[in-house]
Amino acid sequence: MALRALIGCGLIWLSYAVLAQPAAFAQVPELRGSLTSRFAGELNGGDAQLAEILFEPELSGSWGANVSYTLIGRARFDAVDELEPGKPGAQAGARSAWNRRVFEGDDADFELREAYADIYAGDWFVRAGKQQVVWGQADGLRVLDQVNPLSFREFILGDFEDRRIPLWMLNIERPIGSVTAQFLWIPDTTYNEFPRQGAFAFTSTWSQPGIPATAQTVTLNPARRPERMLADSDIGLRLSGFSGGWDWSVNALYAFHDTPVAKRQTIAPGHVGITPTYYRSTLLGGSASNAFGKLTLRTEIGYQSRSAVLTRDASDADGVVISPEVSGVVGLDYQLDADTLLSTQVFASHRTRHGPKLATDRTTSTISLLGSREFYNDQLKLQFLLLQNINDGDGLLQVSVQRNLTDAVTLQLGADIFHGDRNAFYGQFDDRDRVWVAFEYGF
Amino acid sequence: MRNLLLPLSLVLLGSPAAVAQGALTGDEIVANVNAREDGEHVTRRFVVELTDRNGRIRTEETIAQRRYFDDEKRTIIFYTEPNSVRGTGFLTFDYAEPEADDDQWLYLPALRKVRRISASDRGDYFLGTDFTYEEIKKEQKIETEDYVFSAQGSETVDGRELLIVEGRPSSEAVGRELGISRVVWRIDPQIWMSRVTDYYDQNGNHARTIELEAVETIDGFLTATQMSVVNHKTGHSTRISFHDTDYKADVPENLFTQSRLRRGL
Repeated sequence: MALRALIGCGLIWLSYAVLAQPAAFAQVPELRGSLTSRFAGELNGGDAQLAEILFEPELSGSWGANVSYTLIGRARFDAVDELEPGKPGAQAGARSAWNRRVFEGDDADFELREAYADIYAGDWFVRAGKQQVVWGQADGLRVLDQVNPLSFREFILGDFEDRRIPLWMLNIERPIGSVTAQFLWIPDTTYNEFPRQGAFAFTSTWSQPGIPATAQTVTLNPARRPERMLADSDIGLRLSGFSGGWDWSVNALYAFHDTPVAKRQTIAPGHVGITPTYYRSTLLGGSASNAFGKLTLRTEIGYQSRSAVLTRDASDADGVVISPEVSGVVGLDYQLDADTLLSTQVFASHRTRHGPKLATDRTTSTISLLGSREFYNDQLKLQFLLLQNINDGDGLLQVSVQRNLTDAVTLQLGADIFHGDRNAFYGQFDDRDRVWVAFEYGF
Repeated sequence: MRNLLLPLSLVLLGSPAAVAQGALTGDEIVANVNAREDGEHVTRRFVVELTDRNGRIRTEETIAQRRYFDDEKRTIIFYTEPNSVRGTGFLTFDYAEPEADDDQWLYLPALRKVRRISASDRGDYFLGTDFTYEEIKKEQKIETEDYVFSAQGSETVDGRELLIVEGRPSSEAVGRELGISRVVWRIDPQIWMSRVTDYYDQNGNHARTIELEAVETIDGFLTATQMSVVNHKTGHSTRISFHDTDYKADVPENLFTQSRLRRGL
């Protein structure tokens, strides 16, 4: 199996090398990348959770002064196979046909992570292809950062860059006076990817549909994923600028929610069908940030026209309640000195319509607290991050140490500690606390 | 106005006769340093060599562009090496008014996000080097409002007659912000740059020494192309060498935006 994975890595490398053959007018392409080895062990029982080798080559180059391209691949071999046991399946419920991973046995998968061209034409900038677009000012708590879906293979652990699922899209930017306008057209109908089994498969009750007591048979249907390239595509618009010391943006995104909600229907007396269903919504919002001496203020607010939540009310027609939802984040960063940062954020969301027995509270809030300090001219970094859900009292504490061993090799050690109710968002993984180590070689 | 005044001040204050007679005050010497032309815009690549007390060396490379917008100086820097920091971008708006904090943004590839960051204390070290933000920003010039200057005669170093200027913080607040009690510049009147600068911390201890190791005339502008600093407290040192300096290549105004920072290299 390992041999096949290695052969796969080699094929990715080779394919990039072939693709990289420069045309007469092109600059010589540059091949870079990283090779990462990660191991994670669970504190509860000591089982291995992850033993992964990750190879991520990146090829970039340009044709002339105004056009450049970037290709990023990923080959992953996980000997433990506890995060997505076996073959996760066709991914048809979450990913569009042109945004799927290729699985090799149970342990290896391959993915074209990003593939885009940058085109400059006068004041116009176009990035066309598979890419990540990040909106908003908040860290880790998403209000406006809704353009790309996420992989929950490791729940919310790991870098957002690795967890975001890049989408095929057209991204056009143009300055209009002192304002920058950005337009997104996203025909890629790919949504959040949740593992069906494994260490971080969701188990909390808030993610499970309510089943009437009279139901004798329950049929779980495949997800009803919107997949029409034009009619189901997403559209985004952002205006951003810098005035009077404030960075600001106004954002709008017409898109399907990335997380499906289990819609219930009665097929026959005593026979209930459950179908994960995606709901379209309009997100309107904005962000603002400014620095005041050693303090940086970051704010973000968003209004979702339609947010769907499960209800356990057996009398509800489809088990789903749809309501507008307002959410926001206020963050404060305090830079003690060049090496030490303290940052806190408060996130809150409120549904304007509520009903009995909903799976989530009408108003929810989460706080985050981050501290980091660098030592030895930035060669050693200590960091902790606490995420605390105020409603359910559950949360996650992450601590890590990063040491640059050489220019090319980085060593990281860390721990991810969950706490709280087993039926809450973070608490459901209370027995998945882990320690981990990672070596990364960059070239 | 800035450009019109500079040649005049050079003629009045920096004439060979005045220098030879040792007639220049500390303020006049520093005025000549600050009158040195550094171009409306510049593109360059710089290599940063960081050496720890055990002699372990690591190297970082960047591409930097700088442009004046009237008296406001804007700088954008992208790291190109090593791979672990490649793509990290740093954008600064440095306002002419000394009391106005700089506006600064950092782009971290791992976050794919431009972050507004607070203007660090000017005496803080710049991104892991032994140079401070102030020294990187001033490009061998000196903020006159921060110091009370006094001329301390001259000294011959490597066959060059250097003018010694001592600066003490103009207030306790400035001393705290810059982390200094005293600075001694040894200024070469041939180029109006300090060849050797010694910094003393607030306790009076010898903290750092900056040496100007190479100077070239590029596109008509005197340009420091290599300098090093030793941190006497930590034993760590940093050498920065500038390459491919170009004062003629176009540096478009719209380069200094968050959008450009976000798009990366």
